Amino acid sequence: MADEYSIIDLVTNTVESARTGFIVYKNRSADAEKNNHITIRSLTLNESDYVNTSYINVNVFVKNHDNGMSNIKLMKDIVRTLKKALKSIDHPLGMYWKSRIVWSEPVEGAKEGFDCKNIRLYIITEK
Amino acid sequence: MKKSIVPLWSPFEVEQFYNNLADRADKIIFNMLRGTGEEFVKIARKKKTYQEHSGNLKSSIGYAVIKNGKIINENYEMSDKGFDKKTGISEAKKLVAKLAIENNKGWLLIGMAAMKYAFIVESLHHLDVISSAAEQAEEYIKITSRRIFERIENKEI
Repeated sequence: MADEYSIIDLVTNTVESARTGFIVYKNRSADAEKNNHITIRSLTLNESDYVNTSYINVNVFVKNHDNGMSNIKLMKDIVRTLKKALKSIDHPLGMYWKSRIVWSEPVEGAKEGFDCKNIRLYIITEK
Repeated sequence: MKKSIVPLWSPFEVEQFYNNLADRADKIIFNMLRGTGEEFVKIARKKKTYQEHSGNLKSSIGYAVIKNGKIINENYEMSDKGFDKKTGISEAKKLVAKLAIENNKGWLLIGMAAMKYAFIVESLHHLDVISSAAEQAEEYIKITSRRIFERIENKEI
């Protein structure tokens, strides 16, 4: 069985195993988080007769440099690492699981002092 | 006397025959795309996941069917809530006009929430605006196109 919670758990495990060095949060980050971090949260869960489908947001927050400039290199490295990991999400043996990255897009003005990139996942799994 | 081969149809009749087939195919494609667009807006407009202040986000939900850059059919609807609403519809129309120019070959179905902040609402606030509607519309078009091909195979159309 894979409901929205277990889907988030599996995606989180994959993101953590990518060893980005970023703090990983399920749902939302701690208030006033000052460090680089990643949030993972479900957007939708659609239940049909045999499968569940879900969109997941993986948001990557990278701190700007002290002079306010974006840390483009770090963002590029982390997003590439994450995308590689998210292409093969580890799931229990025998569980039906299909997932793909829909897009990775910058989110303008997401949080002051940070650049943000949204990686959208689409997942089809068993009920 | 040796008989020559007499064609059964004139070039004009052959052309007409192919044009008729093309017209029928166009009609089938159009109905399928329009049905998918209707399914998309029906689901997306029912969503109550986000609060409506200006009414623009909901009013910017719509669809358009385009053929060779020409808008054949479109559907916009002003939200019943919010203090503005008009901006949403005008943004949707602007987006369709832009995409129609950029994609001017063949058939195109656009399903949209045209306000730019729709992406923020979904990616940062994690509130579904059109994602599940798009998913279900995709499912609809898969099922419908499969049925159409089955009917063609069975010579029902």
